Amino acid sequence: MRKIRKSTRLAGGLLGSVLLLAACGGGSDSASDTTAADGGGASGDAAMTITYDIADEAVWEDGSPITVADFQCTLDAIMKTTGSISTSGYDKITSVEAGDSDKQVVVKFSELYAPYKGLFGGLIKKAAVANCADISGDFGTSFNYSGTEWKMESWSADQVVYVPNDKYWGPRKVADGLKKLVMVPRPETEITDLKAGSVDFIYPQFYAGITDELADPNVKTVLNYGGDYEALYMNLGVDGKNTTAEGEKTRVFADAKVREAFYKSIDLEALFKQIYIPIAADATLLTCGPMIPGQYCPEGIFGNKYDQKAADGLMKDAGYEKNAEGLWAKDGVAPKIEWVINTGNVRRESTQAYLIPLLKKAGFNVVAYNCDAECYFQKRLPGMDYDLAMYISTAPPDPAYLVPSFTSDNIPTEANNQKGQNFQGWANETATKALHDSDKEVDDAKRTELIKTAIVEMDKDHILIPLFQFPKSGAYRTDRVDNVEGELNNYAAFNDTYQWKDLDGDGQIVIGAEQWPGCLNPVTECANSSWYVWTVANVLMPGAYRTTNDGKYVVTELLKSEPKVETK
Amino acid sequence: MLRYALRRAVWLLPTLILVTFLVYVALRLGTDPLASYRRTNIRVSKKKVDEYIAANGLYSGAFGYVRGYFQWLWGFITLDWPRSIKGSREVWPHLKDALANSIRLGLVASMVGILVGNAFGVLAALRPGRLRDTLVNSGALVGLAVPPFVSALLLQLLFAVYWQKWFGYALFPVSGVYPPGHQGFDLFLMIKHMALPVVVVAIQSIAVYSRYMRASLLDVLNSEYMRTARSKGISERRVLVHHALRNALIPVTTLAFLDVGAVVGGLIITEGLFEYPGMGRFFLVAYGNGDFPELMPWMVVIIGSVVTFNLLADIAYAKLDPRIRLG
Amino acid sequence: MAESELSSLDASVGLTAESLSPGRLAYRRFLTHKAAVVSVFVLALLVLWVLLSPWTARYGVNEQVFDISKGPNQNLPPADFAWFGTDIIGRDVYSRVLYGVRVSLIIGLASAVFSLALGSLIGAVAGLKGGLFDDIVMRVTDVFLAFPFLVALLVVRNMFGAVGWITVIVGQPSSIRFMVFLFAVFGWMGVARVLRAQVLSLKEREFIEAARALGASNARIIIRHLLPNSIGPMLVSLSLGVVGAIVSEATLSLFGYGPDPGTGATSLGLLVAGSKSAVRAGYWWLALYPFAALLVITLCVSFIGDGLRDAFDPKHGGGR
Repeated sequence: MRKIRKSTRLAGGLLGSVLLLAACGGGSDSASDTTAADGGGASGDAAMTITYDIADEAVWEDGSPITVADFQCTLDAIMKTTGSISTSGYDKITSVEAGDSDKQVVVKFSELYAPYKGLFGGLIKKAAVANCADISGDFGTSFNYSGTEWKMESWSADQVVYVPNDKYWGPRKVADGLKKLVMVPRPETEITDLKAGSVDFIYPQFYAGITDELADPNVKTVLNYGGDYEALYMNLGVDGKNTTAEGEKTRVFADAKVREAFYKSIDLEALFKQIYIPIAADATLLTCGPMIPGQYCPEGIFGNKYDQKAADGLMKDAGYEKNAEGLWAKDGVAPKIEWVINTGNVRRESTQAYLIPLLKKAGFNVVAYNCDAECYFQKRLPGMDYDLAMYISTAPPDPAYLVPSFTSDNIPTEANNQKGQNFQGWANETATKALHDSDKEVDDAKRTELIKTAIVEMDKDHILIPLFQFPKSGAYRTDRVDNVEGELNNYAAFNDTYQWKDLDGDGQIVIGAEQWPGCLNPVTECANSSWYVWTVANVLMPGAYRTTNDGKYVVTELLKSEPKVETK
Repeated sequence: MLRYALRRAVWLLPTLILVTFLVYVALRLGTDPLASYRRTNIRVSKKKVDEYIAANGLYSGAFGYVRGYFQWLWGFITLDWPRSIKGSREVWPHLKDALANSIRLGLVASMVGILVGNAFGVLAALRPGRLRDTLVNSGALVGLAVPPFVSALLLQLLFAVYWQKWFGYALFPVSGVYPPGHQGFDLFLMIKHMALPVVVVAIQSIAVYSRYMRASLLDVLNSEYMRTARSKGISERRVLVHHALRNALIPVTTLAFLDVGAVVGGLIITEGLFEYPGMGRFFLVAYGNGDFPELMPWMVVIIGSVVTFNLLADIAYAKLDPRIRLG
Repeated sequence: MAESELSSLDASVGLTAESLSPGRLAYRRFLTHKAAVVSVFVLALLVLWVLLSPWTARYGVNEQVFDISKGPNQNLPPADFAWFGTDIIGRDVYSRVLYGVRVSLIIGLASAVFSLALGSLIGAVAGLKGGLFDDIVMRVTDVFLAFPFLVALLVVRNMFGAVGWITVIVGQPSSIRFMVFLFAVFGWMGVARVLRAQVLSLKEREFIEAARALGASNARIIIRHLLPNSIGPMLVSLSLGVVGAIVSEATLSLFGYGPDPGTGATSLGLLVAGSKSAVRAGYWWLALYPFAALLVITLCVSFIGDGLRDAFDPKHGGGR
């Protein structure tokens, strides 16, 4: 009822689906009516060519072979369907053709595309849709095909039931005795349901006190640190301004000195103890920028820079004076800093309630500028109608998601037809160049350096305050189900249900879902939620690669071997 | 009588049109259906947007509202309903399921509320001022003051979580219409799943009906003609059953009609607390998405039911109460 | 005129010769309703306690009992430094309940007064004028009364929130002013029905006819004659309105549409709705005290309403 757990919306929403469709966090690249598949030049001209060899035994649920036609259909559907949520990556493909046989797929790209492993992560079966070029009307009440170990038996507003797919050819055979996989929407009652024994497994977003709520001798909670991270983001505006519904607003954070002073006015250690330690006692402050710890995380940046004196100095340098109320003012005005969060998210509300008085004391006129999740993630954030924003993002294993969010040509404006997701208006030449280069760099070590360069720029420019690598958690009944912990840290979440053990012998495993996809279409807005991906797409759609628990991409049983990549 | 019923029935259609128009305006202003459509269907072509506008009658300007309303109305009457903006699905099948679930839950809860509540009301009214009157009256006030989510939470903890802890099984399930994985119809399971939500709703309606019945019965018992009846030596029991109760039931019947009319609206809070897929949840989801093509039929069903049962309540009142002048 | 009218009720309660004004009569009858009298005292005490919050509250509304650097301050059970325990960011629950009571009382009273004023006016005019105006008002009122309350509340809230000039006057949807406005818009219908019925029955009486015959205008009749005679039902409506608004605020808060907690705001609805998961986690103090305060206020107001109704309409009182 309350929308606490909608907080993954941006995360799950914009990025989550992307695994299925494209590698990076791209979203609203304009459709650019290029009919990709026919636009290609001769094979010799392609900047990059990838050859996929489909396994001979790979078949759909009706026994028909999976072929190059299904790859072509997938590309068509993603590029041409009305309301397709993301075309990034696919828009660089010039042609998809059969090689030696219809089991060999040759994909040609107009330019180098490093995060290619995210492409063709979920194939659309040509025979299952009426017209590949517009599948917006398909998948009304059921997902009528499968290329995995499960197939859908029924789907409704109440529940989705999967049964083993007996035509499945690969190694992920459903465990003996497991006859049904059931998922039910339980946003309000998941914890009660788990404790009462009516669901066997839940995957809740963590909040302070949830461990106490889950305490039960038959319930085990597993905590992992996956790709989720929370941060505070500052809006620099476009040339220091944004046009909003309320007229033009000047952005105080356009000034780098103000950003730095703001950063230095927050005691992150104290904030961390107050807000995040109750969630997970072993938590540590995130210092990687918009990135989780790992190979792409530069050392020695971000972190707690609390220094009130330095902050005061910076503000004076920027031309601010404290006014009668003790607030920093320029030309007699103490500019408002509008901080947006989604109402109903207890942690973010608490953070505001805790931090705003402290920031006021430090001289910043911060005000809460909150609205519900829909308005926050669909209107204010994309409309850049905020000064400070706080949200969780889910990072896919590949850092390509940084490109649409942090390059200067991806600041949505009238001029570029609202393309891109750089909702902070951050225009940094070094970072933009490094990130774009990284997209075309196939050498892993060089690519890592380029990514790090960009992140270091973010630290220098103080455009965001990373806070916390957010735990991913699964909780399950130890008397009902076993062997569930294998993939809980995966970007694709619990996607190893085939090997879960049904202990109580009723032949079914029940998963309580925190959000329920209202519809089933894999390329339209329907797919724009992580719970859609977890409860539908991941379960049914075969793809070229899948993610692993430690954040890597591996080739699936759909292909004979690692695809052959040729570059020019 | 017939004339009265007809006179009232004449109002049915204008009321329906007036109220659906008001709702149409409110939804357009409040949810901005065009923006939600664009949001849910990014990169949508101009042609599709125009089609959407035409199908739903979403023209701008004051005249556009009137014209749009009637265009929408015509489509609605001719069963040419636009598809939902999310997933482009037919609205009726989903709405039908939600409606069936809500009516089932709502009717059972109303029945329990009406029967138990009235019984309490009679008990209280027979001994006004005594202990049981005070108990019923205060109990009703407490019942009204306890928000449904508090009672739901406590019931769930007791019958599901702690029952499971103490006896190894949950007495009543806390969510859904059937156990996960169940398919088909099963009366027993259905009743079991409805038990807790029904109690939560019934707490409130018992409180309302017991107070209403008590007041109504006291009204009758203290009236002149009851005194006359008593003074004629008619036995107290006879007085009660033949005269007092019958008359006291008149306003209660009216209330019951109104309640049943509202049942189709679902019990938004209760349905949410028990993950019950009824009209309440249908509304919340559609409202969250700004799904105009789903919201309007939902509203029409609700308004239709409310208006119809209002009419029935008035007619029933007129028929039952001989004191009402008809004409 | 008005006096002679009401004192004719004396007979039914058996008060004798001594001529009392209707106000005094009602007052006497009210005193016989024990629960109502107790409620008045409890409520008065509570209001006093809240009015004296600069002295009775121990911490500021958004103030922590102690800084996090001195140790964990979250969700502490009741202790001498925090009588009702602390909440998720170490604020004093007692002080927050106190301020919450203040907010809820303001919302309740203000909404009830505004809806009473609006409802009385519309009801009285509808009753006096009759005809098409009366028909339309009553049909629309009927529908709104039976319409799912929360749906109407959400839709209308959004609608008003989207209209620029309304938010300029009454503030953003999460402000108290906006909520009072919203509840007033919803509250008038019940009052209007009651007032209309009252007017219809009074209309037939001689004293109104006499006034009309003397050439009094509608406005004059409403103000001088009808309103004073409807004071009883209006007071009862007022008490219902207060409870209604307080509960509505709680419901809105439950759905995240109440006051904005990010601003440090508090209200009983917010505190009660926010304690849902606290109960499951075993932090009982976060739920118990706000809930008790909510219960005490709504019960007291309801009992007072009961007492008022009995006082002005003795038939319902039975033998108390």
